[in-house]
Amino acid sequence: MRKQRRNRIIFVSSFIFSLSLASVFIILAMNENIDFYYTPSDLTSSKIINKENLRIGGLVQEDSIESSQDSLETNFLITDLENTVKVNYVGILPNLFKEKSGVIARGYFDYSKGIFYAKEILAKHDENYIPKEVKKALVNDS
Amino acid sequence: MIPEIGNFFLVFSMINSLLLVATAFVLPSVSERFFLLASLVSFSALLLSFVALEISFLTDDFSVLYVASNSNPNLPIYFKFAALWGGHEGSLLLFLLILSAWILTFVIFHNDHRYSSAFMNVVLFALLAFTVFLSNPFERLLPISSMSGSDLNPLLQDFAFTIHPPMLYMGYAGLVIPFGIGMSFLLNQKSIKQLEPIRSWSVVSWAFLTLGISLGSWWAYYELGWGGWWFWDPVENSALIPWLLCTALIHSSVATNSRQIFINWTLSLTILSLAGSLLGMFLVRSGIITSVHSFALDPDRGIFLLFICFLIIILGFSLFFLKSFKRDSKIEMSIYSREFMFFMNNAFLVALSGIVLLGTIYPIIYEIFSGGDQITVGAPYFNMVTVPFALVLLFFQAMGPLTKWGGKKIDSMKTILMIVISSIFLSFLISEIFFSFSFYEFIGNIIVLILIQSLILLISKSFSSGNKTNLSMILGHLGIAILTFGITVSSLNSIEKEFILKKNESVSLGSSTITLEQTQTVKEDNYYGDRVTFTYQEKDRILKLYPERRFYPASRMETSEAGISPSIYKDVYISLGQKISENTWAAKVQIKPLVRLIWLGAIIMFLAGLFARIRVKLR
Repeated sequence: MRKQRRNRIIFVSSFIFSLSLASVFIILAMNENIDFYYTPSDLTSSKIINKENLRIGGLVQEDSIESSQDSLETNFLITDLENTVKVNYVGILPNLFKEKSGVIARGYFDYSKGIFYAKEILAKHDENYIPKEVKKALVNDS
Repeated sequence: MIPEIGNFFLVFSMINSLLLVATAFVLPSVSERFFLLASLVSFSALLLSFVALEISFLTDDFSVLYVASNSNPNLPIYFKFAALWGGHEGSLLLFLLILSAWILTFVIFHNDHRYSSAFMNVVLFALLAFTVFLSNPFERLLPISSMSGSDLNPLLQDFAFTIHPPMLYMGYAGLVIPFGIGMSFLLNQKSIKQLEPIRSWSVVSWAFLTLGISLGSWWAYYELGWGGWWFWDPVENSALIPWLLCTALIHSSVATNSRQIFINWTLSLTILSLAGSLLGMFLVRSGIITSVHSFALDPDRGIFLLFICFLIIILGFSLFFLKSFKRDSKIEMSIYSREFMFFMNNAFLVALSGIVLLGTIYPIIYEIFSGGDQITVGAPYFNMVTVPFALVLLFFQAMGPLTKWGGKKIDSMKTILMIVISSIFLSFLISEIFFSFSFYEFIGNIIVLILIQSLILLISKSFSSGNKTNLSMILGHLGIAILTFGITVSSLNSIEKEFILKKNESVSLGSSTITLEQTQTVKEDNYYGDRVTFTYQEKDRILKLYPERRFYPASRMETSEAGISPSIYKDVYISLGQKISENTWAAKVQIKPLVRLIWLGAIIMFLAGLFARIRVKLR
């Protein structure tokens, strides 16, 4: 009987131990991999955002796309109709990337140069669709 | 006229399913036959309703709002047929049809079905009411009817679209059967034998979920042009969660059937897996979380699916706590027993589904508690957290077949030791010879090899004993082994490069050379665009790839069709980026070793699940 009880205590305590270990692990992993979302107005305001991973969203400004002819570099402006941010991206653009369309860029913002360096560009695969975040940015301004 | 007939049958089946539920609880004298008949009526009415909507699609009846917004006269006929499930309303109708078909099948196969069919019809009724009142596909676009219709989203104009949603829905909807069985057992506890059918039905449902998910993964792999087969996107996660819960349910019900243990646990899982599948429906359709591949979006009405999900959870668990199966549940479990293996299996599967769920809905939670700050949880979170859990799960999966029910010690320590040592050695060899060494690959392959050897051991044992063998179980687990091997190797050894090429220019990647041969224009009824020919050369092997860039005028959308040269050993994958100028293209090439094993494993799992009832004598 005593042996059984001891076994139960070992079982329960090891269960609690592994559960808390797993939770800590999960929370740490979560905090490291969260991207915060901002609008161009957020970035151009005086408050400095010191975060590694950012996502900014808005519309690609008309006549702002400058593509290099011999490399995969592209520069363009993202606007929320109030403020704009210059975005630099090296890589293949998504199919639906075009002027006046909704876009989300993932990367980091260099305050000294005022340029957003994107590691990834997302454009939704649907003509009528505006990402939730972009819609919010546009609604806030109008 | 035809849409009105369809609408009539839709309403009719709603009333019918409500009647069925009411009869089951109010009129105990009504015979079982009534429920068989009522289920048949439900199914037939929904089939007629489905046919009516199909006729509207095939005859381009753009006076129907749903047809007008999801079809186009220029679509090929098979896409017009499949366009029915291209949007929110129609895909719900397909789901309902499949749901009623499952209920009918269940009622035909099982005699004591009064309460089980009633509980299944509660779900059917709730979704039918949602469809009839809030998502009616037969709504007319009157008095102005559209002449041409907008279009089926070009990304959906693909062969996979004709089979992926139906298969996935077969899996989702099938989960209603274990729920019904569990609920009727709780209400009317005669014998534990009542729970036996849960196993076969959850396996069938699981098989279709597996097929549906892997079809979706295969589709995303070639269609989205990124060469990824899993993105940890909310839509994918919401299919993975019920799959994990259903896998747990299968094992728990096996333990319940063979040892009369985990009974309350099995019952909870029948509720949770159905709730998971409804929650998935809500996440996919509400658009509450930004996703790359949700098409049937409707934020305002989607929220009602969440209500239905809560309704099922509340209904299920209140019955569970009121009438839960009480019984001295002392389980003597040595850590060498199969009971313990099943316990760990369930603990880790449910934990995994919780982790995936947390990551998926965390943006919503964060937004609520931070007062509107928006975040996304990146794929690295999911990889970081799920991979270790999955490895532990696989380890118990590998050990499972080596244990016995009620076992207190390990019988054949020598054999197990040999299996483990040979696996370590073989895994080392595989990593060294074929790929560059990496820790995860080494560990992953060890576990896969142990799993395969323990399955071989199981086969050889049943060969010598002459007992009937559950070949489906062995095959299913073998499928997991192949899938895991494919995931490990392809994720850790793929190479890729982005570049710009002019005509006749080359670029090198690894030991291969890629040349842009020529560009030409293509034109079809529903799209036009460019096709670029690339040559891939590796030593003497020369492959030609034809990626395309298409424009669909009806919906003014551009898509990119990847050029893929598949083989079991490796895939070569080229997708086109932006057109720099005439004859100059940005493109991305990827070489993915053993990526096909992922889907091969999934197909084996599907087949294994489909034939789960078959036992064979090997000798």
